[in-house]
Amino acid sequence: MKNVLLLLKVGLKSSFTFNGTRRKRRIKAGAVGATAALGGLLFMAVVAGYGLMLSTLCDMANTPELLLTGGLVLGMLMSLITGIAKTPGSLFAAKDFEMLSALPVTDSELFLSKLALVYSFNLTGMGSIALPFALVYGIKYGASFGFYPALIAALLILPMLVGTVSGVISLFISRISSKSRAGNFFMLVLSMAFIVLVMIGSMSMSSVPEGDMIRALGNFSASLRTFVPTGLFASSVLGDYANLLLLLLLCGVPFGLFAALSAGLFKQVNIAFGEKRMRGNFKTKRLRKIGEKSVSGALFSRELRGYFSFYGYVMNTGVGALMALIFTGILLFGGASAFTESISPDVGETVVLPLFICMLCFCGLASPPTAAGISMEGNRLWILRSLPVSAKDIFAAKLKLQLMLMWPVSVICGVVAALVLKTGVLGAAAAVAVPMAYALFAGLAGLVINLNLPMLDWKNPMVPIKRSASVIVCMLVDFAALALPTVIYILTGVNFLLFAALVFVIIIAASAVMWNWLKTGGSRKLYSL
Amino acid sequence: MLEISHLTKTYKGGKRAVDDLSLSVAEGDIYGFIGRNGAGKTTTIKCVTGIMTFDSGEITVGGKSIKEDPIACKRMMAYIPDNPDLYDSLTGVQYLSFISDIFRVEKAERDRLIEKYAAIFELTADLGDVISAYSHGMKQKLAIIAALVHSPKLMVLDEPFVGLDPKASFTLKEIMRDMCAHGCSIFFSTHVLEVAEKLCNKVAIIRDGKLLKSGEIGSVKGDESLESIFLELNDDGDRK
Repeated sequence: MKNVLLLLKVGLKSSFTFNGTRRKRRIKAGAVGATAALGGLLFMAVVAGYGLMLSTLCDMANTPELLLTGGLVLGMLMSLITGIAKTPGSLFAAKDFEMLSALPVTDSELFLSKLALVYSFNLTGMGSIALPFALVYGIKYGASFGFYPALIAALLILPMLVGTVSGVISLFISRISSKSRAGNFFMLVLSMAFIVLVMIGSMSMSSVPEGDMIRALGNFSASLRTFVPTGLFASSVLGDYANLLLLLLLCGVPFGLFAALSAGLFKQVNIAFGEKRMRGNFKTKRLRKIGEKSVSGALFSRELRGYFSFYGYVMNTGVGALMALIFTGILLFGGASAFTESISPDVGETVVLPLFICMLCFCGLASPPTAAGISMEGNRLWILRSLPVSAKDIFAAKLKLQLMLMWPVSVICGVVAALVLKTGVLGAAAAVAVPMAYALFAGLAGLVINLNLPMLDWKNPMVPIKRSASVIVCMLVDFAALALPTVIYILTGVNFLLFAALVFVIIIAASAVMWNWLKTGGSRKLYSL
Repeated sequence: MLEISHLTKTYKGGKRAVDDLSLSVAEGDIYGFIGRNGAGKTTTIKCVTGIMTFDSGEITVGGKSIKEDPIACKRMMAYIPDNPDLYDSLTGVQYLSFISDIFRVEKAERDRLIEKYAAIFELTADLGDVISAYSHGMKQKLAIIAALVHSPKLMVLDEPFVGLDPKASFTLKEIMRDMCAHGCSIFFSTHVLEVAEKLCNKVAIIRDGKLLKSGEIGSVKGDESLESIFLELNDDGDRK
């Protein structure tokens, strides 16, 4: 047990903290950690604010419990999506499996520590949404003293259920992928497919067909009461504490079964992923089939291969493009009204175009691969620095990756939005050009920030992607670049197309400034890292 | 081919890794660069290859300054590091094609050279596998082939024999001799003094970033072995 706790502690530390050995590094790591914690608290505050708004509607529909059950369902969905994205890499294709299995710990200790790590991810994902909703309920409706301990107990129990569902899906994905030579690619495609399925399923669930919102909320609340996990959760925190036992049985038994099932496969699947497949059958005649590339083509091709060969990199940075396509799908098949319902029930159709463009921009800004692009070179940075290529070519190749991910998606989504919303030529231009400009901005900002906050001494490639200062700062800068014009637009209410044109010009100008810096200061920086 | 004049490099924190170092590598030279761990060999090599910037001094390759025209300099040279960290996600042949594309090696020529050197280093059958599956020695061999595939005029190697099996080590020495016979210049660091003694026509001994002795191997070692000269120079330095 001591070993399990030690392994869990190391796993949690490497997942959630920002280590630093020297004093300066520790200060930097502390600042980044504090920023991340602040970001988390802000997120929970926003969720609580959303809960408060929902509570007004719940009052009107006389369904206060919807705050509890609705918050839980949202938390479970969030946890399920992140669970499907994270569990394969954490449990079945763990990057540190070989290193940890060389330690004097048993396989079961290693497995239990990994399972506990997955549980903690699920707990964090679910708690960050379900807890603020429940707290709003508790404060607004003056819940009894027993409500809070029961809530904590229930929130500790429920991640087991989500962990089981995401774990079974991940096991399925990992088993199939580990048998293939292109295992990473399979794992990527299957994970994305499951995430899309979950998101589409959850969105269709939230698109309430009834026209009367109050009646719809009532029906929704009633259906959530009949859904066993949410029903048990609500009743147990509201005084029927015996139901906590039922909840424990409902979540604990499948989790235990899953643990027993996957314990046997844990080592097998991890070893299958870790085994290097050597064919040793290359024939020189295959050389003739390999074409020549230009310098920029060769650099880009290398970026592309490196990117798609790493599951964690794609899952953490490709989500923006995926989200944009899902939202566009909703708009295409459900029309403007389906889109507004999926955002907020009280949004009118006149603001769909600005909202949709804003969402596309948000997707383009969400974790660009360039934010970790330089860090990902790690100890192989010598190759690029020793080659006869300019720093500008290197940056351009990295930028192209972001543009390749987001520009086609921006064009498709923008054109679809323009056609569905019948925006006219100017509206279509705004729907395409503004998200493209933001995608460019995010890519360049990622490079600039990463050059100034590089992390090259990693052992696990997930570290620079998930926990580097560069990624966090880049996210904050990008979101600020979108939030600022959004707030100004809401406050001033100026003509949208005119405002969009102005934002486009500013974003392009900022991008030009960054590109200019990359060619001069950025180039010097690259060789002084 | 390679001129290093008064090279000085100080790291952040104040450690002077290379201190006023000057040497010259002519066409056809096999120039051995020897020194203890931390003497400044790798730092010098990284400055020469343009991987690292330096504080003062000048480095020219084929008459061109690495500071003024780094791309032209790099186009003339190949670098093999002491620890070949290559792109794990690429296959061996993809990596060689990438290097060939960057150096703009013509298709027919690259195919011929890849075929030739892969056969020499017995790596042909493994070229289709991803580099992450390669052993240290295989990666080292791949890095050597990548260096040879664009027929450089200057090869800069940092401990090139570390990790190579005896046969590959012998083959590399033969290739180095053959290349220098055809006008290429080689500048390499090594700990193995016997190798330097047998392979090089010139050597330089570095200690604490300063050049202790350099020139034709005969004039450096005189009648003694390179090992005894090396130890003697370093012991003198320790006493000071």
